[in-house]
Amino acid sequence: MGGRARLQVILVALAAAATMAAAGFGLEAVALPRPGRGLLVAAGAVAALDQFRFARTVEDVDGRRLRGTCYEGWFRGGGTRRPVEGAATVFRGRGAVVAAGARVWTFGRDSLGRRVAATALRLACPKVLGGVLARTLIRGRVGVARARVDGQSAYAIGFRVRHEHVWFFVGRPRLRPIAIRVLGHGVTGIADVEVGAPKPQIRHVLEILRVDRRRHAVPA
Amino acid sequence: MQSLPDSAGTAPAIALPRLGAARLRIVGWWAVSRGAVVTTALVVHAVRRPHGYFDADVAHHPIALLGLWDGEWYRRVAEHGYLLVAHKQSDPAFFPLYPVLLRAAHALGLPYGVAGVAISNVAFLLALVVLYELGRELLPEHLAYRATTLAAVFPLGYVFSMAYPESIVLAGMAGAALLALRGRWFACAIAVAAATLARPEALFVAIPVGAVAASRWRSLEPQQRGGALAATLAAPAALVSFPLYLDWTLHDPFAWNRAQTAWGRSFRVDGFTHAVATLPGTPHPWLYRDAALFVVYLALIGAAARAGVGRAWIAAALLIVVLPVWSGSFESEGRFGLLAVPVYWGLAAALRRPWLARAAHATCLALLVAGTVSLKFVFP
Repeated sequence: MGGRARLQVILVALAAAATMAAAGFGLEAVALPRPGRGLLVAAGAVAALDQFRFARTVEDVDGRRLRGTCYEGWFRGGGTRRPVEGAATVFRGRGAVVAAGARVWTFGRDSLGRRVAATALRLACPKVLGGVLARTLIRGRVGVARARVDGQSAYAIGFRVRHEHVWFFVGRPRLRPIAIRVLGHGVTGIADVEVGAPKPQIRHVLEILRVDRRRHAVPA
Repeated sequence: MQSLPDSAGTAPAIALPRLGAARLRIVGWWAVSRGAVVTTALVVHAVRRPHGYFDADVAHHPIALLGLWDGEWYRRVAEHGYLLVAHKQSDPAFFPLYPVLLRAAHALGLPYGVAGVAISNVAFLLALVVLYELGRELLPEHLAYRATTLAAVFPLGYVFSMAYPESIVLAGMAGAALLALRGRWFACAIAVAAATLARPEALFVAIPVGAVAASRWRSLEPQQRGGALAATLAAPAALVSFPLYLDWTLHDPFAWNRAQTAWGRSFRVDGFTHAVATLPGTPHPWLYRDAALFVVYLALIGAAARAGVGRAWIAAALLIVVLPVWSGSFESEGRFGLLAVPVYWGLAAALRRPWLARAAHATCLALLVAGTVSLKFVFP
């Protein structure tokens, strides 16, 4: 086969392949709906939480003001042999709350009641809330609106978790968590969130969690 | 690819049917097998036993059983489009053709749940007819016919009636190969592209299609050669369209890869050993079924090779069956192997004796019904 015929073969094949790729793209673009901007923002906020393992919060929950540092990662202890993913928040002067696997521990003097502790943990740990948001997002039951929080342009991502209304405020455009608000039966709270923490505070949190292995989860 | 002459001294296990009568009988097998699956789903809905398994998921519609598992995801894509949720199981893991068809059927007035089952069952009829015609090109008539009837009643074949794309993929793959054998290259390319847009493993049909093109290259005119080459390139071309679309809609061309990872489907070098090592004591007992089917599929592919099925088909079938295990799990291996066409040819070749073939058909049909009942609590 001469060079010209060979070139014809290749051109026909490439043209057909390009046409099929374009037709495939066109079919998908025309036939399938695109997610709304709000859902993309919410999905982006969930993805943005990956960067943060620590967060500091000042929260008002059930009439109490709490200052806490949240660590999110892997834990050992509490009868578990393998590390399990979880979150722990150390509240200044109020003990700590640890949620790892399917269990929640509260400890320390003047420790919080279980229900308050669960809400306090969600307010303190954006990634914990992000996990709930992700599951809700898959079902598409999330609303997003523009907002202003602490003078910043933000998105308010709203969704329901059982009997609670939750609003997760993230900054525009980087989607860093700014604040969390929970409105539920009997327990409400709002938290200012600052992701990341100074190294001394991180060391302090990890040391507290290592004390008394019998009761506390230990960061893996 | 080669046509295999009847072995000397071996009588056909089933009387050689005339062509038209054979096709009608295949339609009959389709009707019987699909009727069994759909009837079972209706009975499950009506009986609602055992308690705790047949809940609202199954109760809300008579054929809801056939829309479970991945069918819900395909429906979600058809209704809402794709959305990648980081580190969670999300829908960019599912290829787009089936949701496109669901949406088209819904636009014609069908509810999504009914549309999925209808599309799958109609596509399966086409798949069986095309599978038979393809088999006749490569094997003796009686083996092609037996392979097709066995495909109709294959135990995991309830998937072909579910809101899953497997029927479309099987029809596309078999159709592409048949069109290649008949020299209709551009139509072959379209069939390959369509099948690949439904499930990515359809790209392996490019191996036998490419083998046909290579074997006939010298006799093809330049334009036909262009078509033959296009048919071989059709699968990667179709594959490229999906990340392009995901980039356009989600601003992430790798959304499929990320979603697959969240689903636990990312390839690893030690995938096979990990799959074997994690099998004992698994909390999901249906993995034993999938592991057993993995072995069965390999044996049947071997039987197909001994029966004279060409190396290109054997290679494609091995890739379809073996590659998923390198994600580290045997999960869904039974379903993946449904698209390895030589499995049916190998099974047909192994069942030479008439009584054995009849027993196999009856057993498969019974297992097909049992498998349909198990759908609520066993992931296909």
